[in-house]
Amino acid sequence: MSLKRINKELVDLGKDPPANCSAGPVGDDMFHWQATIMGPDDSPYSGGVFFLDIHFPADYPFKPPKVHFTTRIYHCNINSNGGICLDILKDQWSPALTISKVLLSICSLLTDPNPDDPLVPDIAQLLKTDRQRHDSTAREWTSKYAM
Amino acid sequence: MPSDPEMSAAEQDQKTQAQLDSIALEIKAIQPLTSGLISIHGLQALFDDNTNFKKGCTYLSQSYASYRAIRGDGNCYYRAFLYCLCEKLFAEKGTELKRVMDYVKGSIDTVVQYGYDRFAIEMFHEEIVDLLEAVSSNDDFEIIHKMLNEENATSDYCVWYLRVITSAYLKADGDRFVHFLDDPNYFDIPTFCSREIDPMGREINMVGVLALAEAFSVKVEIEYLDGREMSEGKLTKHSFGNETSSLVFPLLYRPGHYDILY
Repeated sequence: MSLKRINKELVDLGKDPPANCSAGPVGDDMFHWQATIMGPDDSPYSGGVFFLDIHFPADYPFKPPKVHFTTRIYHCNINSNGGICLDILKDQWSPALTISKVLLSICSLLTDPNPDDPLVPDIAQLLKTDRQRHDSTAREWTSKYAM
Repeated sequence: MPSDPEMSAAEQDQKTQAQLDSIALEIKAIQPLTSGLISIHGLQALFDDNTNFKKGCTYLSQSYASYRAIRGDGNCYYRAFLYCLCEKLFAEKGTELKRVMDYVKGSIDTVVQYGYDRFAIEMFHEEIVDLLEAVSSNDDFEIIHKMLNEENATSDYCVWYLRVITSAYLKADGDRFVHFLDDPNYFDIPTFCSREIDPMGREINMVGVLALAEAFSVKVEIEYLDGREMSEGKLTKHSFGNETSSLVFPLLYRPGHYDILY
């Protein structure tokens, strides 16, 4: 069942790809994908290309996919291991969601970080107190790691 | 769980998730999705003497012979509803089976209007249509009972589709149902549905009970064994959905859980 669903998602991604994102299997293993997200224009990540690793659990789509950044990014909801703090990847996951929707949610997280539920408290603190310095560090990291 | 200052939020989160997963595994190992019939007297043994719960069991034993235990995984209401639906339609095999079949077959065209991608829900829809076809074509309900007890299969797929039907029904009449939201965290139906109805394992609440019974136009009757003082020697009983339906689903509510009564 999981494989059938993953195949359907792949076909749909080909037909109707989400803006600024792409995703597909790595090699022959349909349960292991790679995705890319282009840094949104209205964010300090603009111009960067960010790679993500996606693992589908055996009981997908009942359980959420495991998604993490493999490109380093300066963001209060994404830690140095690439772990993402996003509710739909945890207890708010539903089988109605798809990789395409997950990627779009991550894109909006890049545009609108959520400093009230941070994974990296120092970055969240800076975002709240000195947005300009936060954004300039984020831009530096983007050109260093994602271009 | 007490929070450890040495632990990062992410580690804390992972630990909580691991703990939840192990509880879920434990429940899976000891409880079938839907049990066989258990004598109603078996319920009494679960409660201490002289409590309202015990008194409630005595009342139940006068009106019902047995109950069917549903796995306590947060999906119990939907699973009980699904089992009752199959069982009652199997016994009827007439106009109601045809009506429900037509409704379920057409439901995918309705639900896609409420924010679901067709390709993401198609498999779940096919599964429930196949289940109803099995109900219609089989002469032995044991086959259906087995289908409904297979792990990670029919029952879970159909349970989730019932969640989709519930959400779509709530969203279709949001102005009415918004007044039923008794959870102070929610002010609108779409947010409520995406957080409380759509994810698997979330317990149903009153507004969901109402919506699902109305969506299928069946009558759900619930006996509330909730520890409250009984009046006139009876438990509180409420019914939802179509009062005149010949499909009646008698359920037993205990705090946080639903089973089926016979």
